[in-house]
Amino acid sequence: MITAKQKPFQEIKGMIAPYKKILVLGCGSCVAECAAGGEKETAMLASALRMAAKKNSEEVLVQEKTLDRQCVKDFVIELDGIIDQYDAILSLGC
Amino acid sequence: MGSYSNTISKQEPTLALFYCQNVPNSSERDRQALELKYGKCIRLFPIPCSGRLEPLHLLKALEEIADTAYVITCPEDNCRYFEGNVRARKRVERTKEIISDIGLEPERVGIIVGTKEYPKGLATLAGEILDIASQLRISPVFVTDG
Repeated sequence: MITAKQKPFQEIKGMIAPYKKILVLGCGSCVAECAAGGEKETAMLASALRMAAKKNSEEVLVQEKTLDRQCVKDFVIELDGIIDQYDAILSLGC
Repeated sequence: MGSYSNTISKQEPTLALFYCQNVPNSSERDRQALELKYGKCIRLFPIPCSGRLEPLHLLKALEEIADTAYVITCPEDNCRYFEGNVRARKRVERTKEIISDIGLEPERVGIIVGTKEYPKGLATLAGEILDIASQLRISPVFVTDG
């Protein structure tokens, strides 16, 4: 069993600073059990990032999606149709 | 959802108020009367128990419609689902941490716990919370045009 802890918000925000279109990608397995990167946490982080961007008058697109597992190709290929819309993927997977 | 940051012109602060349906005088009619009285200043969200509230509900309210977000719970040891109000309190605290990280005032999120001895109705509590919320400026998340 893998356990996980979400990085501090400011650290995450710094990582995505260079990008304008970001997909926050959660995982429904290990990190969801740890309340670090499941669907709820993904939505919360995306909302927080959007608010931070609005507050700083930054033009940033932040959307979110959660895969059942990020370590299984069958689920990862769900991104094929949408991945080109984004500059970066912020993964909350383990 | 997830749109580009946009400029929204906001003239009046808005309170998003989540409340347990067990709060006195909180029927649908009472809710409609309050929305008629306060107009755009208040948005009311009845929930079956305050324990149903998630931090995401408060965050989405602050992101999209409200400058402050509060929840009203049943009195301590009086939740019909035993610990819904306890969970709500912890989730409000978690939400305060998150919005502090963003740079928003943690006072934009709050919780009001009912009292057994002197129970107050929804209208009374809403008025009190609006007084508290009015002390905060319009959220910097809502940027004015120009």
